[in-house]
Amino acid sequence: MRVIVNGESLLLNQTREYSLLMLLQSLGYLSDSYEKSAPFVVAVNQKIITATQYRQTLLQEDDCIDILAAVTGG
Amino acid sequence: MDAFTIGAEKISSRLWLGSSLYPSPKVMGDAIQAASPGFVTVSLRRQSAMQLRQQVSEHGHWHILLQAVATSGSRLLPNTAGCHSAAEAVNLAQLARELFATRWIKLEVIGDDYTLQPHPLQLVEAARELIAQDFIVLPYCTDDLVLCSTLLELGCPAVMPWGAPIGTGRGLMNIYQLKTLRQRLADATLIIDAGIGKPSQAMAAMELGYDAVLLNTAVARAHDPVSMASAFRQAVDAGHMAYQAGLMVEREQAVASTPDIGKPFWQQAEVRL
Repeated sequence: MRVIVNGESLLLNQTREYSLLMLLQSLGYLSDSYEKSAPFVVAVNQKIITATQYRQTLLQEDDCIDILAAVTGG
Repeated sequence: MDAFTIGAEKISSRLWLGSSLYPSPKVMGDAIQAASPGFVTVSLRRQSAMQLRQQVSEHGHWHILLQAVATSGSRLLPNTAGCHSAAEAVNLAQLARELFATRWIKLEVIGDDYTLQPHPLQLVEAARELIAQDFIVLPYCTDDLVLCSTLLELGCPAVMPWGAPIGTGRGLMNIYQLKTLRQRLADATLIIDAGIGKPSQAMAAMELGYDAVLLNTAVARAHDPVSMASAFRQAVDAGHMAYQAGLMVEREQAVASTPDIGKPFWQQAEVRL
């Protein structure tokens, strides 16, 4: 299954359902104990997904996942 | 620096500062401390897990920024920088509210990439939607009177007209229009956002009766950003104090300050060339 993460194409070799939680863990955003390494926010196809929804959000082919965090700004 | 309120919220200072473009996170933190700003503007962008970890490390921007904000009594003000449509801005504002846990948003919708001029129509559309979603919207806008009035009528607790295009440092380009805004919107909270290059320009904005100024580049790109932050703080203070004290009315003719009565005789003698 192919998804787009922060604008980059990513091929997921999954044999079963693949949740947002699994993706965030595999990319290092979440620790093994599901803790955030730093504050961030996620949108799937421009819809905000809160932390409590990571597990139940199952990714679909061509989903666009944006993972955003704080940066300096004017 | 004296506090003031926007809506029902107390804002600790009339100088607001951006967090971008500093030579290092430490200099940014020290400049924020020196300025003690009412708000520090921040944004949000896509980041990898590694970038994220760097941000929150002991010497990272985010770690230092949070410390500086906490110790200086400032607040975070997320922006929607880089958005070109109402839909984009609303989406980014929603993500900002989730990330920063604040209802405040500095609403930016750019209409022209060369001048970074705000798009008035998209701005109004985005402001209307965000206010309906319970955001406290501070729109970065042009100095157009009707646009500012419309944004205030929609429910923005303040408007933030530009002094000059972002990052130019050209100061208050249209004094006549900025004076008109202050006169016609006498009860509104008006903040100059963008274009301020020197402390004297910030002071001039405050002397016009503006309630606060928001700037970034002039401090961040100074040779000594920390000293410049301090200079801006004093300028904003002085300008506001001068406005409250009541500036004298300009006159066309010279009027001597020293009384004529009691002049000694030699000042009355005819001058011979």
